Amino acid sequence: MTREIPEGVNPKDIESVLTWVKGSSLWNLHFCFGCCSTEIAAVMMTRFDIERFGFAPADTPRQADVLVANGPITRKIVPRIQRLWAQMPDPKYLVVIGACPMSGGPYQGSYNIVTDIRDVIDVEPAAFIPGCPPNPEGILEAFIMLRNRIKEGSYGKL
Amino acid sequence: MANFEKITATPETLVETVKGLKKSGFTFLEFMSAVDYIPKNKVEPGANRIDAAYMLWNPATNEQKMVVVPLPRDNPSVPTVMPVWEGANWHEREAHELFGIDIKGHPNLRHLLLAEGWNDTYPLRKDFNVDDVEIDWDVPTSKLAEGNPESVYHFAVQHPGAHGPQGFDLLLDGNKIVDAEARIGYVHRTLEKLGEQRNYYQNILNMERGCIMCGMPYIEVWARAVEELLGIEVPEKAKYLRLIGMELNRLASHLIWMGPQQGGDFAYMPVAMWAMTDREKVLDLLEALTGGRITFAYIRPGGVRWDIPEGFRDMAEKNLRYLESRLPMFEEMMFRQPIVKERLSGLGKLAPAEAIDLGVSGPVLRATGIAHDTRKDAQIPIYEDLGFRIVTQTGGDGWARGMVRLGEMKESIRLILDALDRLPPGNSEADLFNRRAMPWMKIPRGETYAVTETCRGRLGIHLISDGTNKPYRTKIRGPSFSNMYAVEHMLKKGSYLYDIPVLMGSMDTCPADMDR
Repeated sequence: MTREIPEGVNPKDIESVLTWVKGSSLWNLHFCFGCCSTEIAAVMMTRFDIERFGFAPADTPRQADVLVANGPITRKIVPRIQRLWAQMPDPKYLVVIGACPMSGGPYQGSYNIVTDIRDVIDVEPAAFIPGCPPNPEGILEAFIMLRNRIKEGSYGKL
Repeated sequence: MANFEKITATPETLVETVKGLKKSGFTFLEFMSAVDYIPKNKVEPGANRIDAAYMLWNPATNEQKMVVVPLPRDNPSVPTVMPVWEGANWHEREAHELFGIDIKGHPNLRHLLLAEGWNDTYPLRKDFNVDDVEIDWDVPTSKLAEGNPESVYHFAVQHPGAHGPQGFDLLLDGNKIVDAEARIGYVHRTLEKLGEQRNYYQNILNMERGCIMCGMPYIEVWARAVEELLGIEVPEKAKYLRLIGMELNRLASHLIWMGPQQGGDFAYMPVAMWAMTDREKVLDLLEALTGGRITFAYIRPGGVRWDIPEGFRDMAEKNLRYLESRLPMFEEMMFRQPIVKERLSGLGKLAPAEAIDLGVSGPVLRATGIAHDTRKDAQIPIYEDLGFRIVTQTGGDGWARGMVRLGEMKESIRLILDALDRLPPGNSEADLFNRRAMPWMKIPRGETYAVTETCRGRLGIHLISDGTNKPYRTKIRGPSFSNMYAVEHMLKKGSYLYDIPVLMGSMDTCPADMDR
């Protein structure tokens, strides 16, 4: 299948080519640690079909571009998230789905919850969709937002 | 004042007492937990003790009995009841880490739900201060990993074959599993402690997140426990609407189990995709009824949030009849398919007595031929009226569990349509029940235990009220907790590494449900 090179992408300018390529095929790490992963499963299946936008789950962090924070960050899981994030090759992006990773969500005030993912891994999320859980359209929106921001070059420059 | 009998024992007489009770028919240990009474509590003012509590169930007569062992707050200690019930293992570990009760004779008292290096602070004690918590991150993940640091195989936490953050530390001989130790607790959101921090109204939201794939039974049982303390009866119509909500949720959960879980384990994508597509039809119904797809807050103490929407009957008829017509196809493709059938037959075989001993429930228990379904046993309203039929199989293996779930889907569709046909007129919320006042409502002092059947098994909530607007103690018995212990038990009996994803799929363990 051939495809025309979009406007603004100059084959002689490697930076512009990379930006275009990075935004077109984003694989997210298959790591479900919260309630919202149920809705992410729905987004991946037929009705919403996120794969038509170039998103697919990757089984290992070595092949993943996007870490989807989809649930409450318990103290026990913190080192695991840090390690997975460290294992992901650059460029890598963080997408936050649901209220929990940014604020603790309904579990605020619990002794076992870290309320902000930015305390765990040192990165600003590329997209954040609040909700408990957000509906699939919202999750789709978050991923498209990430893609657009990468393509515009406003986020995730190497 | 409780809907179960309490028997007091001492640490010395405990094992004898529970042995006697087991002989007299109380064969099922629901949970082992504790209640902490500090002197300024309002339930029994002045009491300064920890009550270790063992909830027993007599499946034949459906009676509950609780064995209570009062212990001093400093240095509480009880002997293990594992010689009587193998399944007590994890419950005792939980009581040890959350209440600081020393379990004498227990084989492995490492942390289960909390981080491995959590210091000696006990979160469910009333005088717990979160600032005292320190975690040593160098502690190995399991006893197995500690003993065999070079050779242990970690099937956790991020593993595409594990359904969520649950897994095992394994000792392998080639592909054969020599020893296994489960690793859970990664989504321990402390619902029991949050239950004490929130008022009864806010708890609706929290309880529902006990298991995200099957939230409706969680709030139903919570609402029923609160209603029992309040002494109110919900209108007939609300009972019907609750049943419809719960059974729709069961359909959605069983479809996600058949699709991405069990089908996905085989990389059998047609089933995975089609089951999820059909699940959307059920979710559409749930959205029409409650406004939410997977979290609802629809049921609440006193009734349901709102009445049935217009046109729901026709929509349900259309979507559910369609789903009904698809089920034979799924049966043919999934459970009669020779490769799948071969793979699932004999997988994780459980004998009936063994299943009871381990405390497993739900489709896993019914697949062994034991016809216990809490919807019938506990006489949850309306199920009896609609002629609810328990689905059982006799194999006790992965295939039998699948067939039970398939049969339950058929039964659920019938129940929903029958309930819609017989929906009585009237209010969907109890009279004289001011929902706006609910957050400040003081619930009378008392103690109750309510049970229901979620998609995964027997769910119980032990609720103690001290007369304020917040519960004094909420103990949740998550069905997956015991079911996951059974997975560990099966793996130890001699399985292979490649069995784990399929086995976990067929047991349908939900990490949120087991960690709470």
